[in-house]
Amino acid sequence: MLLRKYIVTPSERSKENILSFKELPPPLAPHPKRHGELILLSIGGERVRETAGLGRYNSLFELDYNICGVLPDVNNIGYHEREDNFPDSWGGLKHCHVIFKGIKRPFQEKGLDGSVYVYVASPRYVYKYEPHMVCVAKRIKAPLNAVFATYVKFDHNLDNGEVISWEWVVADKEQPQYPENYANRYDEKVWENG
Amino acid sequence: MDNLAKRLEGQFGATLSDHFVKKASYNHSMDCLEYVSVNDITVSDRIDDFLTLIKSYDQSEVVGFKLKGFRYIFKEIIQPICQLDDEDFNPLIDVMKNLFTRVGDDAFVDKEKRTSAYRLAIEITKRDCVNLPDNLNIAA
Repeated sequence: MLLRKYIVTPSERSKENILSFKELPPPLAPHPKRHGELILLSIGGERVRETAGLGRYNSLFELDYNICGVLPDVNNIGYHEREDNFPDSWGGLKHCHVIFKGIKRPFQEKGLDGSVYVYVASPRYVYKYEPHMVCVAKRIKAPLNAVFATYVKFDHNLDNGEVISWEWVVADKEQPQYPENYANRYDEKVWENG
Repeated sequence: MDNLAKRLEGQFGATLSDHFVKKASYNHSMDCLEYVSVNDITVSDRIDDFLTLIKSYDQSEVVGFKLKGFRYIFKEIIQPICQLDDEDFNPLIDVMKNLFTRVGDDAFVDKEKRTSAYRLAIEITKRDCVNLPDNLNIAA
C-alpha cells in the first residue's frame, strides 16, 4: 500500500501529462461599443479542434501569437530569432485598429450574420511552421497587402465575446489598413483606434 | 510540439495531428466549408457572398477555397421545400465534405501532378530531340 503512492500507472501518467499544460490566456481586445474599454474574450473550441485535427500548425501559431499575444508553445522558441529583436510586442488582438460589425453573407440563419464582429489588425509578424530539429516555429514578416481578421461572436448585451475564427485577408487597395472592399462586405464600422 | 499538443487536448479537447491533412472541413461557427491544399500561411480573397479563394502567402497562386452559407441555404431553402429536420444537416454536410475533398484534390493536387508530368514530357522531347506532329496541342 505504501509503494502504491509512488507507482504511477500509464493511465495516470497520461492523465498527469494532460493536466500539466500551460493554458492559453484569453485574448484581451478593445470593446466594440464601449470606447476606451478592453474586454477579455473566450476562444471557441470548434475552430481549434478542426485546425488541430488537420495539422494546420500555422493557423494554431496565429491563434497564439496574433490573437492571444503569446509565443507559440513549442520548444526553443526564439531560436530562429536569436540575432534579432526577440521577443517583440506586436502580438495580440489588443493591437487591432478597427472593428467592423456584420459580415453580410449567408450565415447560419437569417439575420445572424449581423452578430459577428470583425477585429482587424496589421501585425508586423507571423509565426510560420518550419520543420526543424531545434525549433518548429519561425517568425517571419506578415504577408504583404493583407490584414489579419479575427471573427468574434458577442452575446446580445456585448458582455461576452467568443473568437470563432481568424484569417489573413486581402487588404483594400485604397485603404490598406482595411480588408478589401470593406465598405460593401460589412454592415458598419463600430470602432477605430485614434 | 508536445507542449502544444498537451494544451490543445487539455484546454480544448483537440487532438493535434502529427501531419498536415488535405481534407475539406465544415466549420459550424462560421458556416463555411473549407479546403486548403498547403500547410502554410494563407491569405483569403473574398470573391462574393458564397466564395472565398484561399491564396498562398505571397498571393501568387490559389491553394484552396471556402464555400459559405451551407447552413443558411439548408435552413432557408432546402429544409422548407424538402421537409427535412435539423438533424438531417450533419449527414448532408458529411457528403459535401467528401465531395469537396475530391473537388479540391482534383483542382490542386492532381493539377500539380499533371503539370509536372507535362513538364517532364516536354523536357524528354527536348532532350531526345523528339519531333512532334505540328497539329499536336500540348497543354502548358
